[in-house]
Amino acid sequence: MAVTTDPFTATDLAAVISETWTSIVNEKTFNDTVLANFITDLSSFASEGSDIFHVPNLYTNALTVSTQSTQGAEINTAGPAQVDTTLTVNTHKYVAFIIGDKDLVQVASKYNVAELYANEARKLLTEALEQDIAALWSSITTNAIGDTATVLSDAEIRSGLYALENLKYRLADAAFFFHPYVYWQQLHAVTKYYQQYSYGPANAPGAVATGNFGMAGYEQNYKGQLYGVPVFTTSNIVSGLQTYRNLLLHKRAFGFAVQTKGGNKVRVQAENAIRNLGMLTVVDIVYGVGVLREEAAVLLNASSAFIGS
Amino acid sequence: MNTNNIPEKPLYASMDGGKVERAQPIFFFQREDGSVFHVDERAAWTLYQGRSKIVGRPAERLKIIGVGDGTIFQSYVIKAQESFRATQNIQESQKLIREGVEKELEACRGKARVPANYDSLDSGGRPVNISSLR
Repeated sequence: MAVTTDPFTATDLAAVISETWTSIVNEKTFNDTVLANFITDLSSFASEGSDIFHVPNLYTNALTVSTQSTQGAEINTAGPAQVDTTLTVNTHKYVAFIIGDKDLVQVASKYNVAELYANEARKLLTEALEQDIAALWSSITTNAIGDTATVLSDAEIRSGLYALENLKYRLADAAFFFHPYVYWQQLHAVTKYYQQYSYGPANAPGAVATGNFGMAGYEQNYKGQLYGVPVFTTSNIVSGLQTYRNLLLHKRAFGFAVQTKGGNKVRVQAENAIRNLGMLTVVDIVYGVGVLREEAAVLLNASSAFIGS
Repeated sequence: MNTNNIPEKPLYASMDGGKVERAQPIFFFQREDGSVFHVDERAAWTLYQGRSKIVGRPAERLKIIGVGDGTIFQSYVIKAQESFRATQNIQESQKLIREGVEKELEACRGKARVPANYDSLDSGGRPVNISSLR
């Protein structure tokens, strides 16, 4: 009789084959905060209280130039009315979770579950702020380019830059914010942006080689520059109804103020909740967002039904 | 700026690989100047609450003039894709998508409703009524 006819199988050894819980944890991914890092931040004014923050508007009604047609005649003075503009802090968002004491003591010691979820909650709330800033697109009417069927191309990019500069906003203080779909699927198909004959000398490789429009800058989703204007990508750019609402913003176009209690942008509080016999963690943020100068923003609509080829 | 002046041009684009999103509610808003624009439900909630405010201007009065379920628009996007596969004509496909928006508005004009409350969201980003949760 052969001695190798009945080898041990994994099933036979099930009682002694162990499982290992690794220390690697797959966490949820989040965008970097590109919008909040760029637009006007009024948070420093919020530290001493108030729910409404005033930004006087001197540009709606401006001074006028007069001509002294008759020498010696009395001059006319101008007194344009100022406009009182305000941003209101009126949003309080939170993420809360509770882990029962029994479960807490039974979780493997290598996992700091409360900290991992608090970290996720913090990033969720920071993204909520970014999403609310991106949602301000619906207020942009002066400079709205494209529609539900537009494939973003060089013409739209140049139209946006023209619109901003024509209204006397410095492009040095502006930036593009694209959805990754539009950046990779439409803009990177524009031959002008990567063909050597249009891009430049051989020692300055184009977007196909480097993945961006300029010097390396993948930190914080910075993708380089387009016509000298910084380009950022974020999937917080609003998308819906087959349309991505990309933005070309001057720094002063949008504003926000964070007024979370305790002084940090996001507050994390944890306590032993005796009545629930568990550890309660609440992460919250208090903020307000608003459009400060509507004409300093350009909306670049792009369809999700097309890719550049 | 008037974007109608951007000339139509031959496009190097394709609908192969483009997305056809699932049908979702489309909210049509009318501005005070009479112009109409459409948004999805989440943006509609922000506009409905008056939170999308331009600082320094009185809050714009927006009117919901219709809410469609998005199926007509989706069917036109699919038609646009089929047209592109048959003719490789991007302009024709774009025309169909724009027509889809108009047809959706035609079908739902006068049927308005309040957008879902997006103030409370579950972990998937869907609105949830907290008071109904245990």
